[in-house]
Amino acid sequence: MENLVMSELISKNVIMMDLEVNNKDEVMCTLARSIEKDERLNGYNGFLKAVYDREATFPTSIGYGFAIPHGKSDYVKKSTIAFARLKNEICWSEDEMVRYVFMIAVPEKEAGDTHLKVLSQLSRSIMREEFRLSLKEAKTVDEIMRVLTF
Amino acid sequence: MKIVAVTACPSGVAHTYMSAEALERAAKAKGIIVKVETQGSIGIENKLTMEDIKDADVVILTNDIGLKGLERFDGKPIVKVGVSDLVKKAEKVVEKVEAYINSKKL
Repeated sequence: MENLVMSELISKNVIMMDLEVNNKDEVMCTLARSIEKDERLNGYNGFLKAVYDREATFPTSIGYGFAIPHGKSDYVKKSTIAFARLKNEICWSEDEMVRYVFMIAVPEKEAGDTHLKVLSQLSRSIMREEFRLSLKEAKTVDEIMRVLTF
Repeated sequence: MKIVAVTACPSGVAHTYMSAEALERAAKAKGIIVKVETQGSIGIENKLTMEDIKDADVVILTNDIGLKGLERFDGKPIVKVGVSDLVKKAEKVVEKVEAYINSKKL
């Protein structure tokens, strides 16, 4: 059942492999655009502002080359997990370089707990080395999908 | 040795749970008993009971946003830590807490 819920949160359209970007802003925009294109937002600018506002509290880089920018906003239609593996690492905060980015979108009033539960489990998974390694070693979008939905 | 903790973060979506996981892993790796209550967007999970708190040597609290039920910890040694630090440096936090507890036992 959790796999079913997870498959509502991601789609191939919001997973990017070896994305070429020069900086944090470009990753943020590219991921947010992919979520918008997948018809999961009510407003691109509004959502992106929520993500930047949250980022301003403290950067969402978490070590290990990972960052998880996230926004909780009325501009989100459907809870979403987008993922990008970057071709080259970029500077995320003063002291952190990042190559793996999860962008999480959550509606301000998430209707049920099921999506939030899956997001909390994803957050916990990111702290596990085996999980991070599978994301690093995946070769295709399908493999990433498999890592995320199992 | 036993640690109890409460974690919370600004949006209640990610760091609450990442920090709980990081702390649980770091403590268990050292053979320390640990229970972490999360106060996130799902609500309160893994709630600390009075029994849990009574047995604990130390209470770790994240200090980014207000936590609920702090009166439960009156009279206990409390360590406050940023949720982001707990995510990134859980091992160091546990080491420091362990050193502090051991120094008190001497």
